[in-house]
Amino acid sequence: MRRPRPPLHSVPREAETAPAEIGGSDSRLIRQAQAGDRGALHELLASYEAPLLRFASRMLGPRRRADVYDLCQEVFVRIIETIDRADPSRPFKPYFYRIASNLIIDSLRSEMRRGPVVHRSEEPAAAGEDPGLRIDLERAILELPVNYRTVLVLRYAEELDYEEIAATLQIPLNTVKTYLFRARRALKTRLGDQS
Amino acid sequence: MKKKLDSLERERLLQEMAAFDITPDRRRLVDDIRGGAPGSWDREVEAYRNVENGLRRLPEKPEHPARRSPLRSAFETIEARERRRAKLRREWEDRIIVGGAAAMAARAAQAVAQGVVGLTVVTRGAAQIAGTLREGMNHALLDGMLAQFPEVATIARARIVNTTAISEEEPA
Repeated sequence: MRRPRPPLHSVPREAETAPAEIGGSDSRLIRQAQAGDRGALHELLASYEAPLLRFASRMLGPRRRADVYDLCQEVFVRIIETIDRADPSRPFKPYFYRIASNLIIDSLRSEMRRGPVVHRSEEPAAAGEDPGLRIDLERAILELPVNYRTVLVLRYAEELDYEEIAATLQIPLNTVKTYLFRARRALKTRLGDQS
Repeated sequence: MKKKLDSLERERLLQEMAAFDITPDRRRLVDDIRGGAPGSWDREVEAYRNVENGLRRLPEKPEHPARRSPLRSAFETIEARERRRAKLRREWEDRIIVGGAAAMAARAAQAVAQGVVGLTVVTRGAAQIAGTLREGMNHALLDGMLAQFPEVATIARARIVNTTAISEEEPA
């Protein structure tokens, strides 16, 4: 008999920044948006704005914080222009994150082609938090290969489940698990090396 | 007696550890098999948990109060683009461009790429307009149009054979 898995969520998430739950609401708004209702499109995307900013910020790192807003705007433009391709009968969240991931990953790869990237954290630590640990962790994440970093951030920061990550990145479920496992192991090793 | 693990076995055990749902008896067995000291598995689990918890403490979003909402900016970008398209459509509609100049071809290609429909086909000369569709045309441009905007090419084709008044001037 299996033990219940211990809770891992030590940090409460901001309810107001979470995208609307997949279901009737998103589906209805997608249909309305596809019929030309700009208000519905705005309502649909507004709930994804804060999560997108957070996702892009974590993927790009503090060194490119100034690019985050421009990249998010590009993501929204792409989604608005291609909203007709969204399938209202399927969850919108993976569709949204797929477009966002593709643009962010393209941006990261383009940056890497220009030369080696050195990351440093500039975020102040929260009260009661060990700043060194967080800076190390953030830096370690940014040094991961892009595919590992993406699954890690989607899973732990954006809290997508495995199926949603597989649908977002269009990779098999087992590949998601493998990437996640290797990413955690790499992080653990890097953090160990740093200490 | 403890044995040394091969890499595959170690990989499997680490995956189990990452799942956090192993029983205490099994945990001791894992400690034993993997050659770690008693309790080392717990420390491994704790290390993973620290990583996961640390991930959730990452900065929430960039703080740029002065920056505008990217969603609002995106809508404004789209609206500006639509206004430009409408302007181009008004300027270029019902015109047929004659001549094969590269600049004109580029202008026409740009208009096509921006989604202005029913407007331009670049030809090499007025005499060739009466010929078949592909004769005398910039084939690369035509092929691109056919692939991406078949309805544009169809409209253009109809206009080519029916047009007698031909403008050689670019719209102002």
